Amino acid sequence: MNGLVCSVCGAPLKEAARFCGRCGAEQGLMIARDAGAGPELREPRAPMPPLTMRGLGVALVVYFVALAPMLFLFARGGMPSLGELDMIEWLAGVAGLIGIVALGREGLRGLGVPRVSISGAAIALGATAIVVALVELLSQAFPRVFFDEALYLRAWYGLGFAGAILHVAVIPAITEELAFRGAVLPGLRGLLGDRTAIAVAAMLFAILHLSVPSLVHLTLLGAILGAVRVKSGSVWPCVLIHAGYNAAVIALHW
Amino acid sequence: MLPGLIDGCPRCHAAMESSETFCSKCGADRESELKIAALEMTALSSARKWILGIGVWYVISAFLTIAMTQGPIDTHARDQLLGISFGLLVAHGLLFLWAKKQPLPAAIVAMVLFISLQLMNAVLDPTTIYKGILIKILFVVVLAKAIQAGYEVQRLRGSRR
Repeated sequence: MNGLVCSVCGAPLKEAARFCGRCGAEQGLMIARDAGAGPELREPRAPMPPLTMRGLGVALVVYFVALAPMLFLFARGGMPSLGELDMIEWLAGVAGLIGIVALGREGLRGLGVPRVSISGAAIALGATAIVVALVELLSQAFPRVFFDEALYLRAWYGLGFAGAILHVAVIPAITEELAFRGAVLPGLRGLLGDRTAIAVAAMLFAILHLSVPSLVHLTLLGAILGAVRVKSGSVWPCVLIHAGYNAAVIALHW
Repeated sequence: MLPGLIDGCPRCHAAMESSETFCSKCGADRESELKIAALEMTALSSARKWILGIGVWYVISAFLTIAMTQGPIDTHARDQLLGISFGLLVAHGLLFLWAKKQPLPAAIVAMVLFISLQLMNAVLDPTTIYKGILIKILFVVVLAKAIQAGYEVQRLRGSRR
């Protein structure tokens, strides 16, 4: 024993102890400012977000509601009509909005005004461009694996360029971002922390598309969008980037 | 050796006296550290092995399906099946590696991936629901237990100080 006692509970301390063995209090938090002045408390650490299973529940419910119409179309077989394609997306968007409300303040904050920084926007756009290039390379290298969405939109639905952009770039960007960056990601943050929640939300976003060859690039895109949501504090920059990504992939084949 | 038998801090291995509840070097709560170690050795490590096992299972069932196909083989469909199952094996291998560092998120992703794939197979061909039903149920139970254990570990870690 060195004669020192715990500053909280008064138990004797071991030599060079940082923590009290009896109450676990960290020692040395009281620092003398100078000889004359009284001791001052060091800044406490930032509190952890509340650890919550509820957020995980909201995230999973939104995910499976978004998955349900895809399964329904698989079960029915045949080609969905354009209206059905939009319905799938809007259902995901509504599920996302309900999830956002269920998450309360943490969810609703994501609908607010984003914090935008020039460097952040440049990094996000650059990373998205790299993913677009990756998809382009993959579809050139494996044309039988990655099907040509642009050809299909023209031939099957008879869509013009503007119509294609609206139906497969703008609407999906709004609804999928409301669901994934609006509800799923914030729902996971409390339980998993920011980085891990971004990774898990990105993987769920990729799995939802039910295409094994697309898992890699969709996870990358999801991770970029998740990071943008956490850094900017809002889903709207994610909507813009997602719509831009979809439009770029379509435009390259138009 | 079981961490409970080591006479010291379960987290940093500094010497600890039996009268001490907390480690004087790293501040770990001995009891919750022992609980964490026990959970990591049981529920979480078995879920990890199951994640890898299910990836191997996809590849084996793809080969079995091809072997049991009667009549002429559609080579495009065969290549697609093999490609998908090997892709899934790689995905599960990565989840297996990730689960060593972060068992909770890896178990959540593995569970969602598994249920999504099973639902997709079920709507495409309802007879697949009963194929390997025992393995499917066991997998879901093991992963559900792992998610619960992972949550408990996070809770214990969060309440450490």
